[in-house]
Amino acid sequence: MKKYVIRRLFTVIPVLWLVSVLVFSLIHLVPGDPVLVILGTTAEKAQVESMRHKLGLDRPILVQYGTWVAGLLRGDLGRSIISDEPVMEMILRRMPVTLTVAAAALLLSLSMSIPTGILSALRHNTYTDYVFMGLVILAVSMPSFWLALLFILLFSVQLKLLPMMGYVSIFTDLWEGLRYLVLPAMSLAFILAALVARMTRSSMLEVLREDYIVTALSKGTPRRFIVFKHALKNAFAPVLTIIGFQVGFLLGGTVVIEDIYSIPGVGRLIFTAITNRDYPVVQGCILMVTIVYVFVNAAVDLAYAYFDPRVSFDRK
Amino acid sequence: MFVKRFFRNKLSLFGLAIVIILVLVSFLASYIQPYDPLKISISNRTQAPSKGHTFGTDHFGRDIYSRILSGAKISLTVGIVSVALGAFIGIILGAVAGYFGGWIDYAITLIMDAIISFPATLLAIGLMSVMGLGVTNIIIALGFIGIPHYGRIMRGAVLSIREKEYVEAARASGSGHLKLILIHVLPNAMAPLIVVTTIGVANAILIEAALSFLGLGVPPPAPSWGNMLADGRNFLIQAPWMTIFPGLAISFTVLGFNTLGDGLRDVLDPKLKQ
Amino acid sequence: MDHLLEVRDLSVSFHLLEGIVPAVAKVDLVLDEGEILGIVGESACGKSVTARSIMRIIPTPPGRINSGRVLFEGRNLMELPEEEMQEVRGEKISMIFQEPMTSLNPAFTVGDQISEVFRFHHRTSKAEAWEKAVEELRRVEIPDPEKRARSYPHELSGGMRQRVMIAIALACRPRILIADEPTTALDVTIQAQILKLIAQLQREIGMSVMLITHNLGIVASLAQRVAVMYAGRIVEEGPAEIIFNDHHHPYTRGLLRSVPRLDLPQRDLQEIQGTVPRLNDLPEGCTFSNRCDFVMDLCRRQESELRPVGEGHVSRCWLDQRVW
Repeated sequence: MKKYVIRRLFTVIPVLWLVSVLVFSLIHLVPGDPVLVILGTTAEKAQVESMRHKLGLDRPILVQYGTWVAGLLRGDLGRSIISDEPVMEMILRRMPVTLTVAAAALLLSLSMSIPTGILSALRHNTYTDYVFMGLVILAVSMPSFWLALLFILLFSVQLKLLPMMGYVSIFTDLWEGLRYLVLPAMSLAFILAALVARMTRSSMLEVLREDYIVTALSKGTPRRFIVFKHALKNAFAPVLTIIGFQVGFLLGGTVVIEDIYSIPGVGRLIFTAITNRDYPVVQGCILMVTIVYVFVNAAVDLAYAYFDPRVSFDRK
Repeated sequence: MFVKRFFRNKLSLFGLAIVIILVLVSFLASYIQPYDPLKISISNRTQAPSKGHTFGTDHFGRDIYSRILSGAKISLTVGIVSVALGAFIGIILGAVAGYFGGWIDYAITLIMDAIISFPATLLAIGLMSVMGLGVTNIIIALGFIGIPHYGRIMRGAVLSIREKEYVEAARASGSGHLKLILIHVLPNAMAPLIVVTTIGVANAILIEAALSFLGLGVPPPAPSWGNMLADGRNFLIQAPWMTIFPGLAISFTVLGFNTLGDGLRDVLDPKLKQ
Repeated sequence: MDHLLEVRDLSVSFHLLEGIVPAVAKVDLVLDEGEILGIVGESACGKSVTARSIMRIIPTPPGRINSGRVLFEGRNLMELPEEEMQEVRGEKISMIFQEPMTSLNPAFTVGDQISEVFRFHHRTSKAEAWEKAVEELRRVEIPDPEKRARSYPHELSGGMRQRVMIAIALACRPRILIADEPTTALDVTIQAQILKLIAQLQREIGMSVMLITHNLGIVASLAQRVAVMYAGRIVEEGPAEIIFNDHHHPYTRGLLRSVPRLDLPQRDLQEIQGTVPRLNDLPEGCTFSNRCDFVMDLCRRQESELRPVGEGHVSRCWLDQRVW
């Protein structure tokens, strides 16, 4: 088991390396001269040269990459073109906010979806099942930012229940923080909940058909143990994979959601940076968020082995 | 035999119906729309839905219904072409990786793993922010992002077939690499690929909408549904119809492709559901 | 004389898309204290469904128990509420299954799966149940039981997994063990070991065994009485000796003639003409009539009851005596 953990963590390294290469090359994908794009075509030559030097674009590509990675490993992502703040600091300041929203969305969606999925599986092919699965299909089709706007319309404007935008940390003020967290979390949670509910249902259905469930029955195991111990543990593994994958959509979706709700997170930072052509910030943000995602996926893989012990032993 | 099951499956029929409607709308938009989607008419600004304007008008007085019809073309084009591009490249890469194995496999898999390590929307935003706006760029960006999804399936199919005896037999009789792949592997990979591409179109449409919403997608004044939502956001309280209808259009489209994909998965899945 | 288990008039059908399949029809069985009853027949003859119906673990859609009484310890198991039936399962009547690979839960250790039985039925504490589980593993002759108890099913060989299943089934010392094809999925040498283990434990615990199999050799070596099933019915039943050497029903004859035997002079294997009919497409009258070498007009019109043809020996056939 330990070997499996180590092996899995090791595969992260080459992927992270390639991710860094891709992020690094972003700035070089700019058609034309990135410096001119940043400063505008009317900029003075001196300004252009100084900016080029500042961004390190006047050096050979490999040197650029090397310096960048070296900085990365030191925790130095460069400085913002606009504010000259260290990018890493800017990100670290906002990361907790984004992570809170994402975590809230995740918790909310899991608490909705897993019971729904189990219930649907147990009441397979009945009215309950059809209603839930119908809702699931609808939920999966709605863009999260549209949902966000609709929620604002309903809860903030019509019902005046919840604030339209802004953010208060739950660590400063739990109740107020929660009020500001509800709508953004809900906007993101629905889609994730739908996918998880569906996978939980189909996974449970498959597991409940397995022979070992019959064995458990023949042992005289009470029904709730059969569902919640024997079946659920086995059914959860594929659900976990879906969750891992969907955290990606969560992390990507926060950009839009933070913009709509004016939440001071990493997503909003990326967006303003893009508008300002603040490439170091853009690169830094994408890199950091992706690194988080890579580790989330690695954690999911490792957790998978807990739910399905067969995995850690036979690896292809 | 699959065709018969397909037509018996309610999900796939429903999805297919929606997709057909959308395709028809995209082609016929310019003929059936009551107004020019780009025509500005300040005097008609932000009118609620009425007999003259089924979905109302936006802040420039443009008819929302017509814009939605034209928007279908954009969404479908972006969705389908980007998926086709990604699938094409992905299938080739996946086949090469699975077939030749060794360091070629390792390199290609590593690249695909790296691409899929990025949250999709984030990568799309990053790419669009450096490449610049426009439908072509969106298609390239989304295609690029989609490559691993198709590549992995193809690679898996190649790997599982590679071991089978009849490939050995075919190879012994001197069949070329390409022929082997085409004849033996593709049918096997067809089913999951069809499902993934269909659902891929749904996702591509969603991401394009998000991009346009942020101003990183199709440049205005083109009636991309995402653009319309961006406009709608600024007038959320005064003219909620500017937000409601484009969103419904997106949802409807994505619903169609998702149900079609789900239905196809039910039909093509060897494990029958009782 | 009171039987340990009495099954009367059991009928089970399955309601599927293709139609209603009568899996088991009018089955009567008895099992006495300390005896081994063999139930033989080919695939889909209803023997598994019978066993699972006794335990009431048939999925009830699509299955349905149309009729039947199962008398055990003075109660009709068919009428018990589910909670009370749960107390019977695993403690008074246990079952082991054909596929040890898929019949054990891959997500839990072997020790945990055995402990469960103690914790549910005897309300034993977790720690104590674990110790007892290790003891049970020792009893079924698994080497190094303390370590093995912490293994997962996929880490064990097929034979060991089957031993684990036996340990689970016998943990609470049930009065009846139903063994549904316990050795079919195992290698031949392992089969012998497992059968020996079952026989040994049966003697030690003094339980009765319902041994279900299509392998006549197993039945011959272990069972005192044998019931032969065909197309969801019992077609012959009696002491093992008689069934093998002095059987009555033409199907039994056909079955025995299609098995190579070392104890008889060499002859060609004879197959029974025709194929086993689909349960939703049975012939009129006797279900074996379209394949029987001795069929009469009466057989095609009406199916016989189980008629006595000897001491403790019944046969579902119109023939009064053997005609071969």
